[in-house]
Amino acid sequence: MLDINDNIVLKTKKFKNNPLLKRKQFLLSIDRKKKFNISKEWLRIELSKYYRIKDPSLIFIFGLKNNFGGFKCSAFVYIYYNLEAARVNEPKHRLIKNNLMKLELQSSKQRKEKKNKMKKYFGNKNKSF
Amino acid sequence: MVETSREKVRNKAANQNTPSSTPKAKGAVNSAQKKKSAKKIVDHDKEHVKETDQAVDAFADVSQQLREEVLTAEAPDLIAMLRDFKSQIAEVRTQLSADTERVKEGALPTSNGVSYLELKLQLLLSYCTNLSFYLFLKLNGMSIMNHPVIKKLIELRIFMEKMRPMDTKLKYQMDKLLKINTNTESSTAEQENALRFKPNPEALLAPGETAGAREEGDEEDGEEGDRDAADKQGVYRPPKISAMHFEDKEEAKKRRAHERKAKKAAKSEIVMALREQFDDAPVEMESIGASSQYKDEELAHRTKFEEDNFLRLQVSKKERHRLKQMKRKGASIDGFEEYDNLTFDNVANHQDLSEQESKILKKRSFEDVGRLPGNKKSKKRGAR
Repeated sequence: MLDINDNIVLKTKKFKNNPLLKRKQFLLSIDRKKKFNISKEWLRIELSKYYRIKDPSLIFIFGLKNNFGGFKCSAFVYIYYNLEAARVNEPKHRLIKNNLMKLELQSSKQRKEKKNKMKKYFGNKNKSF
Repeated sequence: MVETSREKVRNKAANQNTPSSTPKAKGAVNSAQKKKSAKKIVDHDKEHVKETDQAVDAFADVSQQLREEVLTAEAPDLIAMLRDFKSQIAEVRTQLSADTERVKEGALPTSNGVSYLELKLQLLLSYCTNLSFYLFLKLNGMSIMNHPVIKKLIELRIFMEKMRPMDTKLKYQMDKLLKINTNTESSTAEQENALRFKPNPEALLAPGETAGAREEGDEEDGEEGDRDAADKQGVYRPPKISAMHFEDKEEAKKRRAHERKAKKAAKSEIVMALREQFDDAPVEMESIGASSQYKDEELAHRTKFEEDNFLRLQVSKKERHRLKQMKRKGASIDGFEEYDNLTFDNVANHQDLSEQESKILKKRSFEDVGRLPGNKKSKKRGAR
């Protein structure tokens, strides 16, 4: 379990407001001073406290990467204004990780059949399969 | 037939010989006179036969050498043709006729071979007849231009050439059958006959090899034979002089692992420090900042791109390996890793450790010092 006493330093860099996509985006650099990795859940909660966001599931963290040499890592963060904006603008796999969307998979055979059927047609209009 | 042709040859020689062209030989004067008379005879066809007999008697003295010289001068093809003719006839007489007689009697149990034999016989016979006719034409001085005989001869020759590979294929069978036939009187039991068809392993050997060549290299002759056969095929086989130790898969693995560890230990910092101390060779210093400028630039460029576009770029295998190695170098400054390496080689005998144990020892490195019991990450999401 991590405490504030562990002296993990979070820095936000290259902060940018993106009203077109209805989000705020910035780079998060973490200095953890010990050789273990930090979870995204914990980061989301901390950021929601700092930025005073009611729904922490609107914060999307991705691209966590350890710097060369260890003890430091960097991540990309998007904070959306509302749920609709998030649903429209975010890729599905990230929505699923934030529990905003459920992945419903048919059986693999059915999926493959559908894929093969869709090969014959061009465009979105044949979504009825 | 042959005799008559010989007579004709002599006749021809007699006719074409002029007193001026006769070479010096025994009884040359006599022969010259006789040839003169012979020449006159040719013009008169009715007396042809009588005079030929006379000529034959006259030319009994004529030397062989003379005859040959004359023949080669006038008709060089003739001698070759005659030889061919002789051989063909001999074949017909001796081999085929006997076989066909036997087949007619029903002694030889060949079902597919009979047609082949008959065909061959017929071909040879027709070839001989055509040849003889051709010779007859030539000797009588008749023109052979565009005569169908030549065409026929060529045809038959082609057929015979095509038959030849079949002949070699059937040779073994035919020899066996003939053998049986010759020995039917001596052996009566069927079992004995069956044994004649036993397989012959010596037939499998290459033409240069002997039966003893395939054994383990005891004899020099065997090796040489084997080598010769191999050289003929173009493959190099080293000579088996002394016994070599056979290395098992596991043995080879262990040997290779040991070599790898020895290499690693040789490169370790401690060993290098010792070498520096005791060896007289000059010390190699890393040129700081010489080659790393490019790499730093590249790294900076990559990070800038990533931050601007909010995406992570793939690191190639080579890069990853390089980074790993650099990390290792950095860690070894403290010297922790080197002790790990040394345990493999000197302190503990690596052969005593099982695979699992050695794996565990390898994994434990300086990084794991940080993994304390309280700080263990839980795998569930949202556990904090």
